[in-house]
Amino acid sequence: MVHALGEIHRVLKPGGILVDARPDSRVLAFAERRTSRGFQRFGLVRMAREAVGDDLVSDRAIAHVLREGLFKSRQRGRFWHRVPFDNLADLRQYLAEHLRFAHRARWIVDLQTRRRYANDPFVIRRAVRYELLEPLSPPPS
Amino acid sequence: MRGKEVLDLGCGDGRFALALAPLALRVEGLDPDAEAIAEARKVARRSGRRNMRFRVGAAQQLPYRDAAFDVVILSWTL
Repeated sequence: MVHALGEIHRVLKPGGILVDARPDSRVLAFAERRTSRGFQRFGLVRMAREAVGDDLVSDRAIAHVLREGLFKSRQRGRFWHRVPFDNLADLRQYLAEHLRFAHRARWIVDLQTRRRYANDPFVIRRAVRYELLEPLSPPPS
Repeated sequence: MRGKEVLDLGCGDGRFALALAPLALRVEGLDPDAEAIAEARKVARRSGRRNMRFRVGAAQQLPYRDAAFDVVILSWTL
């Protein structure tokens, strides 16, 4: 991964920008029902252990190239991204198949409530982290 | 992105590159998945955009010259 970042440094013009955006596995995602007034939280969704591990490796690679002076961080932050579903069954299917998430949500509403609103539109709201990195001239070896 | 030369690294089926193409001067997409790149090429042809190009390849050995891009995007890739 560090080697790939070195390649990116090579193909970027001086003053160019690397945009790194990826789901933030340090933060829980939420299963929410879309209502006429907004969103109602139905459940919490943990990240799969493998995804957390992969993100740690990515974080270390970025930290390495910053330490080595290959890039400098211009800006970083987080925003929320909603993935829409027609109904609760579609959301569950997505969780069952998606590698980044634990395959089941932890519901915070009871079974009756889930059944009552099962045909409403739902979303998974998840955090996305981003960082803008500027290439620096490689330090003299 | 306006007027920039952009590389979408790990572009998958090219949907993000397609969204960038109307703004950018040139968009290149690279992904190791040959099927995804075939789909991206189809989408690019259908769109009629002539400033997009897709290749199969790996981030560890980028098939581009030095200082070719203003912006490199890693979206859900690292």
